[in-house]
Amino acid sequence: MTDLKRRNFLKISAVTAAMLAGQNYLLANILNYKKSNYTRKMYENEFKFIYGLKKEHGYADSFEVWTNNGTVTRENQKANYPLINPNIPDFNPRGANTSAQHSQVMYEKDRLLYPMKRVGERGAGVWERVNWDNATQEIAQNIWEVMSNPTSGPQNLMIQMGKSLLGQGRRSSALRFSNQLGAVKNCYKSDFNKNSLILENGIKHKLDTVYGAEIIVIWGYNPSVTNIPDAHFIQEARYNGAKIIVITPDYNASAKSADLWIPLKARSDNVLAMGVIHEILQHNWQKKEFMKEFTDFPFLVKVDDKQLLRKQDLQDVISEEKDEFYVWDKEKNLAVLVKDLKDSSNLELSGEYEVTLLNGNKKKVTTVFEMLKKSAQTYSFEKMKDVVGVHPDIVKKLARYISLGKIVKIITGDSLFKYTLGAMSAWSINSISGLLGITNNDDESGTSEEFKTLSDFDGKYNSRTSCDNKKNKNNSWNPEMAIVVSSSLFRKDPLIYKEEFLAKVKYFVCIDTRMSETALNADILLPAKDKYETWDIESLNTNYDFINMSQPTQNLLSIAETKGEWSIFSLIAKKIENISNKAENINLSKIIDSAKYAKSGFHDLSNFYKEFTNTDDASVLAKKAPLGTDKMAVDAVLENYKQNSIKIATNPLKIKISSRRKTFYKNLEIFLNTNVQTKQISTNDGVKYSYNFILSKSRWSINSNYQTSKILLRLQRGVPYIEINYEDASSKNIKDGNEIRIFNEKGEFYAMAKVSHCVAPKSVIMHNGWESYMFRNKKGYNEVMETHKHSIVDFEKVKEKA
Amino acid sequence: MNKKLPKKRQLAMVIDLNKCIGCQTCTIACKTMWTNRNGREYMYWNNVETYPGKGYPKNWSNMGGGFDANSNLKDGELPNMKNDYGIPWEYNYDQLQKAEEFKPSVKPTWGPNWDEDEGGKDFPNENYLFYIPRICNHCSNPSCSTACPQNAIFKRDQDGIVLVDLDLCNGCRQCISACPYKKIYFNPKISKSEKCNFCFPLIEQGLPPACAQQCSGRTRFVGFLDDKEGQVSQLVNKYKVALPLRSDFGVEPNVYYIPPAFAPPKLDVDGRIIDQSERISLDELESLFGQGIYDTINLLRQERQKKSKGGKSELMDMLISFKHEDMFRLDSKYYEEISIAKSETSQVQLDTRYAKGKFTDVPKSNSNAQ
Repeated sequence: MTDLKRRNFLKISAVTAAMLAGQNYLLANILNYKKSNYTRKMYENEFKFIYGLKKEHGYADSFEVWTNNGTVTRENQKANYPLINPNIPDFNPRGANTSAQHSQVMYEKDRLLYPMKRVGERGAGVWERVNWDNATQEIAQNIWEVMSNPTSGPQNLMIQMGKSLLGQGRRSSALRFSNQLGAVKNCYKSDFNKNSLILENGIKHKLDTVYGAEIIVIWGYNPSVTNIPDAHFIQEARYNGAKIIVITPDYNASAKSADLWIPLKARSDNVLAMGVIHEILQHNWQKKEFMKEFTDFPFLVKVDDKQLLRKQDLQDVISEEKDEFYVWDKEKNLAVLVKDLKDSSNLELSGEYEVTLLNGNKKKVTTVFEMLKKSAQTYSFEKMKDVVGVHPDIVKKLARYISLGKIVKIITGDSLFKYTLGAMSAWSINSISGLLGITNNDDESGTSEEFKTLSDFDGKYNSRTSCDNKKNKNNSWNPEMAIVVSSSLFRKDPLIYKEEFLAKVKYFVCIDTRMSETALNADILLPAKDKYETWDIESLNTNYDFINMSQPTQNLLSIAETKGEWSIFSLIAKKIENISNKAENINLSKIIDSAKYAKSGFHDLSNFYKEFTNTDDASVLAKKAPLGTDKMAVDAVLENYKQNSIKIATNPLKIKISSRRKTFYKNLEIFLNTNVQTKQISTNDGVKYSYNFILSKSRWSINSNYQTSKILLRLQRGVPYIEINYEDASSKNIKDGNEIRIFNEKGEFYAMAKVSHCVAPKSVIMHNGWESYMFRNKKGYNEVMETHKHSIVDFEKVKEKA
Repeated sequence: MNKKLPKKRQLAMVIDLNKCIGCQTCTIACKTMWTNRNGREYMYWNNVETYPGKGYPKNWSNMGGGFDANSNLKDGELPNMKNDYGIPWEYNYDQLQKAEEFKPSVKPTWGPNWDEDEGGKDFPNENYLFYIPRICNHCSNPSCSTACPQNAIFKRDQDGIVLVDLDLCNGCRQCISACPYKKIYFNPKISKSEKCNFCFPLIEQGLPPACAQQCSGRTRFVGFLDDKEGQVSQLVNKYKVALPLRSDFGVEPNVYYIPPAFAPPKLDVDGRIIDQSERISLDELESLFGQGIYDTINLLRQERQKKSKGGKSELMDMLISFKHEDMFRLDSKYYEEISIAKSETSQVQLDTRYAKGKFTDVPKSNSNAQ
């Protein structure tokens, strides 16, 4: 067993040891701490130091946070979630590796301590410390100038807030400020990349709700890494008898104990899904009654332009009437409006028919389902084997499991839909659910009703997003000034975004707790308080139905000049109001805007602070809860709870659209042009490079949050690393731990090679969240990215310096 | 009650490898509790290794230690800081605002989780991995204690927790060579050996060890082996599904593992499923967990099969653990009695959730409402 090559000192003679063994037993019993209490006292004292004072804290998870002498020493999950259903395991001890070490990073030296103003080039890291009064005055003046300038206005002011570490209580400060000004919030990351279609509508589940299933399909998702707090429900479902099927290109922490792992090639999810649909249709396994009653599969589509047949095609309509769609009534043998259909069993799911348009022309129509059937026919298993890399038998098995299982749940990950044309995969997988009547219970993430009291103005001001701007073609994304709160925009978006942003934004304010790539490029930096130092409230309704509230301990020492977001925005609000009320400005202080964003037709800056804090006459009269600090925000939400009972919607089918059905057919121009549901994803055709660059979420960070944590980095490789297949490594003469250069026509970056047996050949996996300053030459993976999650690259070993 | 107290008892931990997702929340819990300071920075009293892999310290399982068949101590090696543990690197955080590159202070060459998720064998037909969390095994026959010339390492009677008496330790490091799991570490700052203390200050206040209480995957059970009502005792003695790691080392560990019984089937050269194939080879599992592996895995699969057919299984329900608090039975009355008997200052019961145990009746309102 012993490796003789190793240093082998301090060996113990077996004879001596045997002698010692006998004595030791006796001595140990005598000692047993009676003689010496040193160790006991030392560890006990350490324990007492760490477990000094306790406070309740909860952002996404319920935690206990311990302090001593006003400093946070440690945290642990409180494990106090009640058992909701005795037949489903409880949520305890909800928490993860990242949240369990927050105390260790909050005092790290990258914390922002004072307001700072840039005095060198952007990003050069030359700062001058300024005081809060001057900093907020300057920001307010810049806001005033953008708002009051006749050639710009609220649409040129961008305010963006991160979600990862901010609860809804804190996030609402920026949201309220933004709504009140009519500032723009980015809605889609795809705003800046016209080549990618990004849909953020994966099939999500609160994982406790899949516990009772018979078949659980985990598709393009690795909950054991990206949903650590709730991943246990999957493992427990297996003990409860569920069959677990994992579909991922890599063998990962979720695949390792699955009953079936389907190692499809990266980006071929759409083709696999179509293959499954093909198999379902071959066996006639689709649930026809469900399709007729709850989906858009029977809807009529015009054969020539593939547009859905709408009421205005056949009848005169009032222009403001909502879209209405047709189905084919079997008995009447004609197209009828969905809402006029008495009995859904009368409608046709398939076939081709003829309708007479309003102008008297005849038009061929077919059904959405008929179109799906036709496109599925082209997905032969033989074709699939090459494209998907999976044997047809496995596809058949998968189709059989999910068609014939009694309770089937399909869960997909977000990343899947962020690939180039990943939306296609999303729809194909969604279509399987539609055919088989598999439902999910996802809730929309975003600001829940109870939090609207913080950011809403009862319709007086409404939020503006960059999507609104897109619809108005003359008014594209054009921010002149930006305020970014706890969000590392530049890390998460391709370089093109950073470049465009910095070129357009003349004045850039960053509010954050720590230095980030985004913060480094700011013109002015404001230091925020951290999650253990503020009041906050959050209902993470995408994961579970609990609401967590946090509050700082009374004796917690404030870190330098940090302030909570609410206090920061209140300060700026006050300055805006003061500037607006100056004699030379007062006539300009009503900023004209569309009634969509400002009901009265203007944003009143002369009353700005009062409106922000609900201390204006109208709000006082309406007895609105005063706002202005993090605590006031939490109090306002709690008061709202008291007055209005909380509505918990448990609608098994999320039906939102005008037809009140689940929709699978998308006839937007852009999707039809790309032939969404039928187009096969090409395997890197015509590209010089041949390795799929896969950017996946990390076990070790929440996007870029905690990416620089020393404790977490020591549990990785200490520097950015990229996982490569062992055969690829060997063919390129790369050994584990070597530095490699990853490149394509867009650019290059360097990382440590991690040679793995769990990564597919011809692909490389990088975890997201690495800030570019963590890489050699401060050039990160965004250098090679085409879209947010995908690129094609090559790599080579870097010659080591002699 | 005093009279009834046994002279010796053994606390044990059962870790379910089928539920372990490798998230390392346990590692973080231990790190922030004990080893983020005072010369312990490189220590991982709790670590989680990806298997197959070299582990932490690197190749620990080949470094000797433990006892041979004649109960003699076997030769052991002392791991090297740079090569086997990896020097814990620091970073230039304060330089970030000056637009400097963020760099580790030393070139990373090895660390506690270096071979994370790498696995082994051919992709995709037979590659595999699973995670093994490791703490000090608080052995019934601890070779570290045997090897210590100062008699500084002892096993507590009341719960079998193995501790180093730092007053007596002279830093000779023979315990490190002797421990076959390499779970004792040398603290260069105080020149003494330190190791997992099973969070005894928490245990004595009715709380589970940090690694167990904070395990997000709900994999760890803690309780006394003689507490027949308890999950630990039942998993180890009644169902025999919890097995010690490398019992061939001869040290009688008190940390037990539910071995990985579930993995996807292997694929053949054409990519077809090979029915009944074992992606994780049973031979390999036997080398880790002994011959009990075959019965254990069969039983786990049979019981799961019962559940999937709609039947009942006490074992599966136990492993599911509907209530997190039921995973720990810390017998707080027992510790109170010991404390009184030793005329120490009275213990403060911080938490009654985990109080249950052989000597601790819990009122029905507090007990499991299943």
